[in-house]
Amino acid sequence: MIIKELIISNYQCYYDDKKFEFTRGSNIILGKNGGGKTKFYEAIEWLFSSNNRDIDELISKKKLNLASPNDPFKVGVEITFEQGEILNTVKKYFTVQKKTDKNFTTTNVVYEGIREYENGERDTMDGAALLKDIFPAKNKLYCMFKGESDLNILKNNDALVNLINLYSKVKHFGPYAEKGRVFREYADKAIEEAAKKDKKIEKRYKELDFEINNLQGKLNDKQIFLQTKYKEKRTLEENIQGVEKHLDNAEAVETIKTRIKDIDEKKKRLENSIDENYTTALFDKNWFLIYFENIQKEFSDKVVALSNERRKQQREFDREVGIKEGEKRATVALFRNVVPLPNDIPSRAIMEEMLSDEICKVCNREAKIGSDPYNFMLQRLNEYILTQKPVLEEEEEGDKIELFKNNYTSRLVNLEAAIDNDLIKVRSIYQTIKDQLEFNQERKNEIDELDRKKDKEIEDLENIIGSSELGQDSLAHTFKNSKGWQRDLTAVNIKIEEYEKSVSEMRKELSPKKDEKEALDSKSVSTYLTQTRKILRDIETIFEETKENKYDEFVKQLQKTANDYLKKINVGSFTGYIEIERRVFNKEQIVEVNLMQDGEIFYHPNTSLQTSMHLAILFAISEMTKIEREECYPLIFDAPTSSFDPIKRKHFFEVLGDCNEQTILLTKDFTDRSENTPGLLYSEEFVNIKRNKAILIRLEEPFDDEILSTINTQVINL
Amino acid sequence: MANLFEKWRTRIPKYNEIYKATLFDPLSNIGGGSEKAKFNLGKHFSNNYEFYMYAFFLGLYKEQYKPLDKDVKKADFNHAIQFWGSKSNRLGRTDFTNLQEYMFAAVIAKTNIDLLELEKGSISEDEAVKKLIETMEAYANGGLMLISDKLDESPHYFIQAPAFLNLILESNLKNEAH
Repeated sequence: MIIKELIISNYQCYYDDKKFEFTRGSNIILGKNGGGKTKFYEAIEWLFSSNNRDIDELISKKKLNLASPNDPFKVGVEITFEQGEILNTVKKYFTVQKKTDKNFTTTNVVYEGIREYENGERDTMDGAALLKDIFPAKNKLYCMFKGESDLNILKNNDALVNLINLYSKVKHFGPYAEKGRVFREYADKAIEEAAKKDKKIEKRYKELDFEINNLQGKLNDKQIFLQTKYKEKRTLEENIQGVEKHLDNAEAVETIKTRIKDIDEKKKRLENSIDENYTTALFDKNWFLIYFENIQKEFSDKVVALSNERRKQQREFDREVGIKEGEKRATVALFRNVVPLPNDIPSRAIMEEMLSDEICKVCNREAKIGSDPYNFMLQRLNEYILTQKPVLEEEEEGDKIELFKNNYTSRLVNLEAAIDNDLIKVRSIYQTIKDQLEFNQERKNEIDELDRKKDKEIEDLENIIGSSELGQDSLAHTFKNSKGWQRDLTAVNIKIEEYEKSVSEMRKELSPKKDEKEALDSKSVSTYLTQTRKILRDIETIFEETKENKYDEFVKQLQKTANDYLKKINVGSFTGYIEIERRVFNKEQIVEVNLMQDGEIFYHPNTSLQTSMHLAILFAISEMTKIEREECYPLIFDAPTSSFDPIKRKHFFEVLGDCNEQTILLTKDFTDRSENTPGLLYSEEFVNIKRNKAILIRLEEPFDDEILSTINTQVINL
Repeated sequence: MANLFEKWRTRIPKYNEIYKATLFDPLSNIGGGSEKAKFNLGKHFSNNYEFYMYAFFLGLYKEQYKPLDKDVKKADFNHAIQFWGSKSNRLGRTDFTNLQEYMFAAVIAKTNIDLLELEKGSISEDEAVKKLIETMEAYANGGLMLISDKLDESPHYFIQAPAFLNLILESNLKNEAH
């Protein structure tokens, strides 16, 4: 069955009567956005729907504007189907009468039907009934598709059953299988009743019954758990596959982040090791003394000279006094009368040590007890000790005149010795400072090097993030999630194995019990009953298996045909195939459609691939319907190929013509006019596109977007 | 035995009051707060006497002997020399009281006192110590003048960490240490 003609009258942007004539094969309607494509589709939908609300919105504003009052006009859609030699026309419309510029009335929506036979005879009929007859409402699901998401018709579980019921002879097998089951259940019940009457086995029978029901219940539950786990597994696999392309990036990002963290830690350590408290070091580390050696020499010379001069003056003074007072004050003199050392140097302890060891430890000469050197040292020590004794008043003989009232020199000499001792420390300060400065500089250089490295890593990081679709946070997320999913997948697989084993064990347990029950049956119940049951069982099995086989055949055929179309649409590109899986669960038909590649489910195909898959399935269904029902319905698409590239588009249109008796397709492709061929109303590409009919719709110019009364769609046959 | 060092330590040297606002206040930080915080503010010296010691050594090495004018208004510190360098209650600092001896040795070397006359009693201890302090003040003043000039020349010189160290190190040009 094809649509021969469609007339849209005063419906929204279609002012007056706009006629569309269609042929067999592919009919392409070109139109830019806003030109009337969607309204065309909606007009057909309105025709097929029973929704008659808000009809005021449907009236063409231009017509309303231009119509004269009291001159009624019709708003509606008329469609003519060609079925063999018979033409069926259905009209749905309402009449509008304009009273004033703002005022108008509408009638109710009315259906009209006309059937025209090959000999030209016409019959008028109930339009609504006629429509129901030739184009049942359920058909819409499989004939009209708006956009690409509508194409996924198998996504609902009952889609397959609906499909079969609508189009396939296979639907007839369903009721037989059901009936077979019912009869078998009658037989079962009869046998059970009979068996229970046998007192001998009643007890055991009841026990078995109970056990079997119990086990069967547990088995069913386990199978439900198993199904849940299968679903979980699929979701996880889907998730993992979904991020696979990002995983490399995610890993790379993590690696780089770790490296950057390392660099930062190294930098921190280096920065901490740098000590630039130079000013404080002047004090705390005595760095002030770097150039003190010269000063120290000055000081030393001065103090030594002072000490010398003091001792010299003291000796002269003592000698003068000694001449006056005799030898009382005579002190030990040195060779050549040179100025002696201060009497406290060496210290008393040192003197005592040298005397004890009987050796002069300065010049390394023997000083045995009783020898001259020994006596000299001893006298010197005694003189010193004398000076340390507090002077008693009685010992004073007259006024002692001292040359020196104070002795500052002694302390100064000590200080000089102490500073001299530390000279080695002072001399090392220069190198210490130099080393510290060098050390700091080297650490700074290392830090600069690390900074350069870090900049490079950051650059790499930004490149990866820039080239990935996910941002940095998403990638980190992905990485974390992916690890989690892998773990979960492993856990789920273990659980699945466990459940499968459990299910198998339960079946093994169940089986002997069922056998035992049957054995009891056959022992106690009349053979007639058991034989009848056997036959009914066989019948049930036959019906059930036949139905399943037919369903399988249907699905297999669907799959094969769909794959043929898929290859044609995707010529030269995608190398995968569609797999349609059917199974029964909980008395429901479950259908799964997957795109496979290299034997594995391809979870995230791009939109274009998905669309071609759905279209392939649709075309397959359409073809099979043609064969099964010897009847065919037109396919109407609104913009199904927006995600296709030009090559795929071309193949698609090749296929379109072959797949069905009639397809009508609306698209905004090819509407860009070429500069090279100004006479052409469409793009050059369209010249080579295969089709049986092409129509262009566009808004009549001039028009104003804001003023609806200027809107009018033109229909141009190409 | 008498101890000139002990006597000298009990004094508090003075400096030209002008420098209080221009140098001492901006460059040293009296009062609490951690050593680290002070450093970060560009205040390298914990207190005024530290800065004075720095000026002294700078003047000493650069041979900038600039005695204070009698008429000039003078300022001084809270602590006598004997307390300089005692850091037992400050975190992160070490005691440097030993530098007192070195400063004393320097002023002894550079001051013209007849120490023998001092020992004979013809010069009083106070007189001697006064002269030693004057020497100290002169070198410190010289150092302060140098620092002040440097600050005029480049106002941001002393913000860098090694600034003060470098100034001391540069004085090598006058002193051939190695």
